[in-house]
Amino acid sequence: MKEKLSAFVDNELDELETRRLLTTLAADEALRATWGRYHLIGAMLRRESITPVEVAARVAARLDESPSVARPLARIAGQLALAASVAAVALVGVQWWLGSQPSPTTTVAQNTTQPVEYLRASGTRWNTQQPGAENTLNAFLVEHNEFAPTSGVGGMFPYVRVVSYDSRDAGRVTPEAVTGTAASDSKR
Amino acid sequence: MTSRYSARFFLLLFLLFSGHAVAADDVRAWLKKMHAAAQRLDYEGVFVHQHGNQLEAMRIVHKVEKGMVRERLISLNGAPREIVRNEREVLCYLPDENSVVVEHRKTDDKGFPAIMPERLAELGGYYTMQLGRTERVAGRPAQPLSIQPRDGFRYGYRLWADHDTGLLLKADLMDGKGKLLEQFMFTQIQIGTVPASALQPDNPGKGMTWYREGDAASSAEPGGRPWTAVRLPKGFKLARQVWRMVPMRQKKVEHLVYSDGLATVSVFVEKIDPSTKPGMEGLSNMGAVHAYVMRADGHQVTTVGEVPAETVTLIAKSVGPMR
Repeated sequence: MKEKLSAFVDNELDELETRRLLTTLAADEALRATWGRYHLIGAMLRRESITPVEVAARVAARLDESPSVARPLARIAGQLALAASVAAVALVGVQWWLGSQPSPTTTVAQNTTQPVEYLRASGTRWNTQQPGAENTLNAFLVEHNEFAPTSGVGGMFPYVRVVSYDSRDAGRVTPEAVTGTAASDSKR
Repeated sequence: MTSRYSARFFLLLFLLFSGHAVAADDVRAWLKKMHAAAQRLDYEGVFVHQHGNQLEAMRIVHKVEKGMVRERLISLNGAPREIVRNEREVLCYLPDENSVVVEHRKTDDKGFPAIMPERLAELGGYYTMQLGRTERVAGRPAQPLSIQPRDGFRYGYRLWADHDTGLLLKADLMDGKGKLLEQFMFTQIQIGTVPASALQPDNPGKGMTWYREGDAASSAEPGGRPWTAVRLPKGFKLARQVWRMVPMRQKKVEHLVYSDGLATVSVFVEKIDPSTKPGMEGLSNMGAVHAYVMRADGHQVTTVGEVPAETVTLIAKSVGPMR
């Protein structure tokens, strides 16, 4: 199932497999957490913040195609897309998406200081012709970096890429863009 | 008359070439000194890193205890992300994501040397190397080193080493035409004993979600016939061959590492289900890092490295099962 999940993250599943996986995801909290972790690692490597809203919107769009599947999940995802407050979207999104214990204090504090952080579009750091290839390439880049500190010096460059902040996409995404994501996704 | 001229000419030629050889030796000596400095010295400082249109500032704490390196990296722009790493694991504190991610390092205890001292002697075959005149970086006298590729299969470097200790203070990464690709420079640095407390993260991860990579997931038993690259740019040799599970893929892959002593290319070979739709194939890049993906013999071959596009393409296209 994990292999399916990673294929899903990489957009490699066909329609039928995707539906099956979504059904399983709705029922399996542990699997949702794993899913979250895959995205988190990918986002970290791309130096982005995670974009739970985007993920939620994508799920919502896919669930729309098969309404009988996983109603609770669809309801939560729907709330995400419709929420008026940017902060509220992020709050719900993070807790649902990571499948973690809610810790309202920290999360709220975070959202008041940096509301746009969660809502950035996923700025693709790889220039690639293949949609969905970034996660795979990132995974390989991490493995490669273990052996090849870039520039042949120091060994900190790979980590510089992880901690640094991608300023290009900051503040670009609005709640409208969230619905936009869902719309464009459902066309796929 | 003619013979005197030709004698002078040869003398001049001799001086030029011997001078050249001395310069290359000197550069190698400095590279060794820089390599040793990174594994021996404690330091703390702030550096900037520029790549593409991005400019970032980071604080770094580097401490060596009983030959073990511990390092802490703090992003000074945007979210205050931190990385604390030792020779066994890497902890990423991501307060903006309310998470801590722990990754086990897969290389052996000593880590993989950034510069392979045993390969330094050969570098002159694929790079021209020269020392420059002492300059000043981060308020300290610095020795510039120029390492330029002799062909289009690798990048060039300009490095500035601290004159006293050999520590790298500034680095430029350039393509074959001398166009700047990435820059790294300390703006302030203190070399000398660093207290252990300086390695503690500012935000110790309290109340954050911890993600731990499973221990067993990292390495794997050999699976299937080994693969190899048949055509390699001059100087590239196999430096490592391992089998492992790549995170997120949950698939067994063979990982081959090729290096010319400075530049490194990884080759990943994984078996693919013939029913998977053909997808990502061809060339991609992230700044100076290039990757090439292709299918061969029921396998997916991916080459990744901080090298020009030609290099990852050439190597990927020459990979096949060992005969």
